[in-house]
Amino acid sequence: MRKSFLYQADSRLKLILMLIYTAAFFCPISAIRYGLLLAPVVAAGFITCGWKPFLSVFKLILPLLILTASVTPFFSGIHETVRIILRFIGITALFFLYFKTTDPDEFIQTLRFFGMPYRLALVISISTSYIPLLLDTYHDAEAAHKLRYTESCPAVSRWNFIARFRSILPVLASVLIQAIKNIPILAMALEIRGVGKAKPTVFRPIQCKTPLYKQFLLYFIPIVVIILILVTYAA
Amino acid sequence: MPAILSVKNISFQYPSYPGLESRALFKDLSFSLEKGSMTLLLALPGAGKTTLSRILTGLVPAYTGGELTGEIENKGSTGIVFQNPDEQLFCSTAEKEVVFPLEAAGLPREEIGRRADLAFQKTGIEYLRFKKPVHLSGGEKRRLLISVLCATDPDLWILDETLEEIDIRGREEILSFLRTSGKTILILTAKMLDVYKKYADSFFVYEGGSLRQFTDGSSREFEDAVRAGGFCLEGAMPDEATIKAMEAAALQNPVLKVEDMHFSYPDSDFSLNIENFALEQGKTTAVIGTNGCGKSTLSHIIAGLLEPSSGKVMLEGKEVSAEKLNRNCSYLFQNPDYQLFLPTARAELEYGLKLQKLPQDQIDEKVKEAIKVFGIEHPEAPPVLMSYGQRKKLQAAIYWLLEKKIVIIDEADSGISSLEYRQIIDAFRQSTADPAILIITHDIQLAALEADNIFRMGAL
Repeated sequence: MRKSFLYQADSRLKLILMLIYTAAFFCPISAIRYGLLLAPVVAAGFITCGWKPFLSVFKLILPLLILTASVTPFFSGIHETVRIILRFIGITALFFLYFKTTDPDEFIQTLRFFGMPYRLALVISISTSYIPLLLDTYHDAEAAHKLRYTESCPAVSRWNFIARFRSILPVLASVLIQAIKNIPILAMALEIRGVGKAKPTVFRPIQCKTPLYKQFLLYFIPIVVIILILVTYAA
Repeated sequence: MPAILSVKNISFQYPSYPGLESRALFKDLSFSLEKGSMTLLLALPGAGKTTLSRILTGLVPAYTGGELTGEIENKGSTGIVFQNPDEQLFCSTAEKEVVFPLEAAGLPREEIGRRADLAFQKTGIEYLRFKKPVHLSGGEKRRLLISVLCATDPDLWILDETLEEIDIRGREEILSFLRTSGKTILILTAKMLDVYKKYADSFFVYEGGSLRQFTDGSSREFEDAVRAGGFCLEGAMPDEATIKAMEAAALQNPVLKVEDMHFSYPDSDFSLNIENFALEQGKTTAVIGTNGCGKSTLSHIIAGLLEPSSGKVMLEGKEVSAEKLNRNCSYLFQNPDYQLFLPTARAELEYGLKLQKLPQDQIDEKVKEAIKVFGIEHPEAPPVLMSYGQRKKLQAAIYWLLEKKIVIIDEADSGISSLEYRQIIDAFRQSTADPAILIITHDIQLAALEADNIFRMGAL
């Protein structure tokens, strides 16, 4: 797949933009304005990943969205419900796109650029890069669990959601065990690699193909202005 | 030569857990390693090789607890390759794995670049430099971890069952490089490979709680000790003619057939093309080939865990769904932990039978037999606390109880002895299901001994 402009964008500018955008999703503006805020994020998601992989991200928050859609209208009304749903979708999409298009190593350097101590930046980076690893572990565990069924096990209907949910529990348990077991092992691996013994250096510093000031003018300022317009004229 | 490492009278015992009473792993163990030497330490799985390697690197008991007594004098820095490479890899590319410790040590960029280039060059994995470690084969991951050692350049290199899953040519290349590196190398293994004799200067055999040292790998005494300890397979190494004859062996009545199959991963230049492949009921097929040639991918397709881009996978003459393949295939993964989730080994064994809705008395009887056949030492222990070898046996026992038509054993020989590995294959062979067995291995001798036919993928 061709790499979208988000991969080329400077990770520091992307981080600031993501935080401004996230803050905008908490502003007291109408659902229509939330929709207008969300539109460019969704467009960027489609361009970056393709529609199917991008939509699959929202599967993870689907239970939360369904719960919100079914409970909130009774307490806060339809308009507030739509706003909450758009907020969840927007923030999920923003964080997904940032971490999808930012190398973990660049993320550490970004955090350090903003003054975060190396160890803390490393912990955050490992935690975030651990999520895809956990996803891989989930797929491996899912495969291993599928193979525990035989021809004599009763077939589970696609529409039997309770049975399908129950079949996920052993996979989640295996992943959890792996994750917990990996904590001291990861600590050992880090110690063996000499983390914390000297002031670290960087082999490949953040490199901008397009100069930072151009990126600033080309997309950072315009997007911030649009956000401000949408948020400021809230009344 | 002066000793770089001296170990005097060390004893170690892990803490006890419910259902898993701890025992002393070793008592009064003493040995020393000369600077610049290559030493092989042979010990059966479960004897404490991994623990010893982590004690020597200062990780145990610091991270695990336990009681360590005795003296360890290490005059240099130490690097290690863990038995399970997945435990040590956490960066997004192979290059970052190599560069990470150099950055952490605060080396200047030019030096980091120079060391990384040299490490990839020396271990012959320059082509993997920008690949994601999670996408590498088991052998490639181990080569990558050796590159990390090469870049960090410690004085003592500890390799914990590292070479078993590397292909034959790769082993020779790596041992040759290690030999000329001038570093002190300690190789811990449960398998005596012939190639070690050519490169190692000193051999230790762990017998009955103590170490016996040999300086000549070709001596009669050493060979007797290796044979008596179960560290090697009986029988001669097969020649090319034997392998070719086994490749040509025709299958009469295949239970599974793969025809004109093509597979490629998205976002990867790897692709796999198989014109014809078959498995026959009651017969054992060995798949051999270099690391990364697609052996595991082929077996994932057979088990219905990956869908081919084109071509046919037929079970008993019919094209079937992935779910049908899942339900008819057992797969002993390289990592046994993916399917373990219950509080005791016994519960794990019972789980598959309970899914089949068998009555409890039948389940009890079958589980009892499985515990006996596979030598599960602590059935009431939590699997997560069992040794790697015991977890592998537990995984085998789980599938043995399911009595499926096809059994895939994917490089499952690390962490267990050759003898135990053959016992596992024999147990499946003698099971009432009479399955077709597929073994993925780098051990040509084992392939020739255990298989009825061989399927070769790429060079050896």
